Amino acid sequence: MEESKMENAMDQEPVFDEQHYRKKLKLSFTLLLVFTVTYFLAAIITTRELKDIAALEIMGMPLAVYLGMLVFIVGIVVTRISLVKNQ
Amino acid sequence: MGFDNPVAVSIVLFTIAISFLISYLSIRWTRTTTDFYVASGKIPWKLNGAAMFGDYCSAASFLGIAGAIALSGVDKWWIAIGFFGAWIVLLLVLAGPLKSAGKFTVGDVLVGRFGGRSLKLIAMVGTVVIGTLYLVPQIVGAGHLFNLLLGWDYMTTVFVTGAFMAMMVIIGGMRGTTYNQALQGLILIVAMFALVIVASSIYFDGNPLRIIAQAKETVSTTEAVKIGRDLLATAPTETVEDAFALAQTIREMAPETPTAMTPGVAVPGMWNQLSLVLGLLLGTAGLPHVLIRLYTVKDARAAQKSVEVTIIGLAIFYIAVLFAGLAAMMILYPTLMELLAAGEIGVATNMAVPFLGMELGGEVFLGIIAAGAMAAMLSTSVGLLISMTTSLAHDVYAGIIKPESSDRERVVFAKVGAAVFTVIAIVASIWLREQNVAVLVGMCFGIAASTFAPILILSIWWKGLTKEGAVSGLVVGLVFSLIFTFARFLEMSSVFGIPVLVNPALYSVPVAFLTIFVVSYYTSNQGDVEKFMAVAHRKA
Repeated sequence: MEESKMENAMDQEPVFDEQHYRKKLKLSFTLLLVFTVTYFLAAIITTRELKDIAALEIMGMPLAVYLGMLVFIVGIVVTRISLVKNQ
Repeated sequence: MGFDNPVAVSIVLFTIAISFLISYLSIRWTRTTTDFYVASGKIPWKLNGAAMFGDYCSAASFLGIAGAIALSGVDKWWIAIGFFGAWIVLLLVLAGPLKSAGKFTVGDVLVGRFGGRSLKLIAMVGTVVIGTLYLVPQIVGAGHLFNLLLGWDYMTTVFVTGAFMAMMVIIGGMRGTTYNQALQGLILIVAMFALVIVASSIYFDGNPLRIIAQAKETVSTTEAVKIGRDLLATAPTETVEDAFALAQTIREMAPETPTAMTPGVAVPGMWNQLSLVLGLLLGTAGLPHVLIRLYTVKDARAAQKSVEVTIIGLAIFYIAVLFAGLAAMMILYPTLMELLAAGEIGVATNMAVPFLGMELGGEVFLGIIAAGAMAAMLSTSVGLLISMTTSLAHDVYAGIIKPESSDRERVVFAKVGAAVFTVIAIVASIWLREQNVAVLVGMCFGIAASTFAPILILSIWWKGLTKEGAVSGLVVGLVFSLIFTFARFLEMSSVFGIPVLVNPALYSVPVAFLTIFVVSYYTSNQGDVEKFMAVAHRKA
């Protein structure tokens, strides 16, 4: 079958490298933690309960908009770090 | 409008014709199952990144979010931020290992670790449920759009759109789908930027920040209807200057009313917000049409680089969506108020962007925006269809029903499956025609976040996961998320005393994870964990 001709990753026999796995685990979940903290912080501050904080104006724009922008910026930064460190 | 917009209709038909041409030209590269499912893993990573962007920017992104911002203001931007955040999860914890460990489908990854056919079957069911639910809002959006452009009734529109989607998949397979999605992604980003640039140039002194500044002095249209509905009968509403004047009058009538830039007005309470953003964050990690694109490139590194291209594209696109949504609110102020006053919330939300295009650049601009919207719907829909049919043909037909089947039989089975899924989605689209497409997609994310996301993340990263834990977690996550999703559709306030939230994720995600941990603790079949981890986490 044509499907079986395609390289089947599970058929190969790479050796499990515990140290490499742990290094990847630490990097990936540390970066994920940084992003999710930013993400949820921004999400919670913009709720009805905390809207007064979100409405604080900085240079003519409410804090909520800056936090939204920050999510995009942090997302792109952790993406780049992940790709560079995983090279 | 009927054929009052021949130029716009021609532009839309031209882009659809190009898509069909691309699909037709891809026939010669779609001879085998691997070609049909994943283009034999030969798609360049930049092209795949562009295709993922087109695939992901659905009707919800292009029409729903900007439309929701046009009605309710900056609070609705959170849906876009959530859609974006999901890709960071995908890149950091899934993209590379998933490509390394899989071949065609999510089921392959699970079977790679645990073996057996039951997981493939369960993965296929999950893929079909999520895919169908995600397909519905695409067709709903298309139905409204063609209604606007051609004056067709909704039913006719839904049938024709569904047929387009099915034909593109059946003809072009994954390679045709990839080129189409990349082209459609390009149309989307150009259309969204064109809206912001032209709106800024004509009405906001060429400065997009003026859109924000003016929005700070404008009451959202949703609030404006409550304050100044009576003004619609008397105030002039012909020009954009009239629209600005009406907004100013309403602001003066109720100076204490929050404006379009006031946060916390249209956002649900804390728990609803948490549930929504959690569902969006983990949702992409469980969306089959996104995951299957990781298998179309040559290796894990290429998959990760593809995702980075998509992330950058999405960041730029979603920031533009905020400006476009706010511009639409102010420029279309009376139009949106009239629609809201008439109870046409769905039309107001989903059609704000096409209306803005018409206002800014007449038929040509309307045509470009409509082509962008159509591109959004088609690219996402064909991605969903191909992921569902691949799962059905590869996981079930070739994996369980008829393992000895020929390549031709499998491709035929997949194509028949595409037609069947389209019919199901069309019927559901008729039932849910008044729903906001962004809300529908958001709920679909909740289901994906509660099913595939937990088991994929834990399969790849947790050695202690057992087969029983994975199966039970997936089933429990699916059941919980479906219960709360349908409770929401049926407008129930609670289920068994538990309040129904805007998204099921806050309940179903923790329950799914907890089920996996508890069942894994009491069972022992961890599968071929050493070999699986070695493959999934091998060095590039």
